[in-house]
Amino acid sequence: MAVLLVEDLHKSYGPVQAVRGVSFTVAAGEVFGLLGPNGAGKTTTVETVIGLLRRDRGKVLLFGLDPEKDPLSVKSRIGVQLQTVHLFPRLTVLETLRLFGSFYPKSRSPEELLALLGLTDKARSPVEKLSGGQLKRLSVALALVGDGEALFLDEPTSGLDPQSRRGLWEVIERLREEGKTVFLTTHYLDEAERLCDRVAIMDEGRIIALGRPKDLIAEHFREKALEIPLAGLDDVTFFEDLPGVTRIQRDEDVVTLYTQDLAQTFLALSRLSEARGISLRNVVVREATLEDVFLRLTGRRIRD
Amino acid sequence: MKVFWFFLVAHSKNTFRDRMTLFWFFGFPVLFVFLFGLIFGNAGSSWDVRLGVVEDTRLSFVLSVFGNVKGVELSRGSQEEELEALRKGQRDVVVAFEEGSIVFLAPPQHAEKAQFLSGVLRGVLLEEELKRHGLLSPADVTVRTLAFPRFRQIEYFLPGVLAMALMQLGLFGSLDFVELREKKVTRYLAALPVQRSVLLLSEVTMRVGIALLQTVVILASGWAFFQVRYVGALLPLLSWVLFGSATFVSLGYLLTSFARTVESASGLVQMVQFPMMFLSGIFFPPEMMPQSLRFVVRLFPLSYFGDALRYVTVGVPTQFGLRVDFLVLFAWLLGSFLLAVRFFRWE
Repeated sequence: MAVLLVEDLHKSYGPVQAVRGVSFTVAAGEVFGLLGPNGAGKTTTVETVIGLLRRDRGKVLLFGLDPEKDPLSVKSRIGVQLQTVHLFPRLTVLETLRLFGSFYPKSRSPEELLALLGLTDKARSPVEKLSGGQLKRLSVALALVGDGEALFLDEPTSGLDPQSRRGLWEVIERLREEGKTVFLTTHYLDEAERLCDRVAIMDEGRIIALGRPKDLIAEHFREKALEIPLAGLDDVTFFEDLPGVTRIQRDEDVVTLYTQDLAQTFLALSRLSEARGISLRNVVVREATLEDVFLRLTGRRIRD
Repeated sequence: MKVFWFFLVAHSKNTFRDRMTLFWFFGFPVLFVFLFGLIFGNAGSSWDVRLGVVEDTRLSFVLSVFGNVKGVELSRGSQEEELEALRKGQRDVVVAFEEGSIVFLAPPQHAEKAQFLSGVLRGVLLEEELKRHGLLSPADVTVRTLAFPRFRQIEYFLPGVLAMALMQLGLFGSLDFVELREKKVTRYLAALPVQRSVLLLSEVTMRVGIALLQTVVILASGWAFFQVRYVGALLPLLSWVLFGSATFVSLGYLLTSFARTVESASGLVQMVQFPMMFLSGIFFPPEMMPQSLRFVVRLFPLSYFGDALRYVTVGVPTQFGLRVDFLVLFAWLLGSFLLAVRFFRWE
């Protein structure tokens, strides 16, 4: 059963069309990721879906209800991660959680959430004394405190150190085990690949790809990727002629070859390296990723 | 209702944990009362008497009687000088010789001191000694309470400090909301199953609570430092405090609805509150101001609030009349409330 149904969603800010005809569904218990670069329309989509923004056109049903017509019953069944938690700077973390818990018909134990997000030793710290990463984790805790059936997390891991990020991944996996529906946005593709059952890749207000990460990669790539450090090499076009190579992508200091036949390409490459003096010491071979999918679909890197 | 209480408690904790806020709302006015009271008011303890003796040979023995009494501070001058000093609050009691009697002159709040001094004089002096000075018997030592110089500077000043504190509470209080709006907290609250108006309502409720607390603290400090006596009519006092606070809270929200950031809101509030503070007859009676500024006094709501508070706290006769005070303040309340509602923005 679909917890969330979005059909042909449109939203503009004046002349700027932030979301132009987006459709998708999210099933109960699913972890759904909305991916895309900054400015792709991810946040606008989330805010329209939860009723924070009025949509211009299209249909949104959350638990079968229109959040614009039935805001209170929808809001009491979802958890939303706020972009900022500076509500009462001198309230402690624990007090803030209790306050937010009071908004919902039933709430999770604040102590349990603090433990879950690694904030237990900060329980009695005023919110204003928290670091950026701790604030982020508090904002996630606040999204969970209402024990909502569906959770909307907007960039839950941006600005976190790697350890906290991984900690948060565990939190999301725990939520999946609890049967919660999680809707998250991110521009970390590795995160989406690892966490999400399905992802929608968004660019310039549209969804350009939708599906399970593995399927998306398989659909767009049969190739593997070979990354070669450039080290002063100017002309890289000759890489295209190597056997097996379907496409190359040149970035600032690295060139990526997508190949259908890794062995052939590598063999040719090692021959070439002697002739041209290319060092193969730091060459990396990897599977194609969502990042490559995004690159192929848009011609750009996601974090440019 | 549950959420309202949670919000109210949260607001209160958040406010009272901020030492700066506490200082501005409580320490600052009390400091004002204390310092200005020292400068202008009667700083002596209640046991001290500042006694003015009119220059008259028939009163010279009074000097010798009180000259050695601890706690009596003597000064001498002509009758006009001493009466003027009495009127200005520089003397508590003046003793003069009028129509064959020694008269102790005092404003009502020092009548007890005059009674005490006259009693001392009657008791200490032997009948013979009185006779030696001619014409006098103990019955000729009298006390007359004067109506004119009733109020000391501090009694004029203290209700003004209260009015100022309540004005600042109202105006600056709205900055908290601007901060929440600037940081988009109010916007995101719309994603939670809570009425945002509860946030506002609890905030204003807390502010009213602080206003009442300020009233108690400021009046108590006047009593403790300078023995200011109050009329004691609680209901009128309470009504005016709430009425004035409501006016300035509305004005604060109106002003800050035009500002995007806390900085600009703060500047806007300063621009309004600063001239009002100095030109509303709070610190100086309007008579001390140049004529050209007096019309400004008549524009500010704080002038009327201070005027009314002086009357309901210590009983200083109103300058404009309570009815005018009420009408002008009500016009400000209504005007700023309606405009604040009209221009109010959550985001």
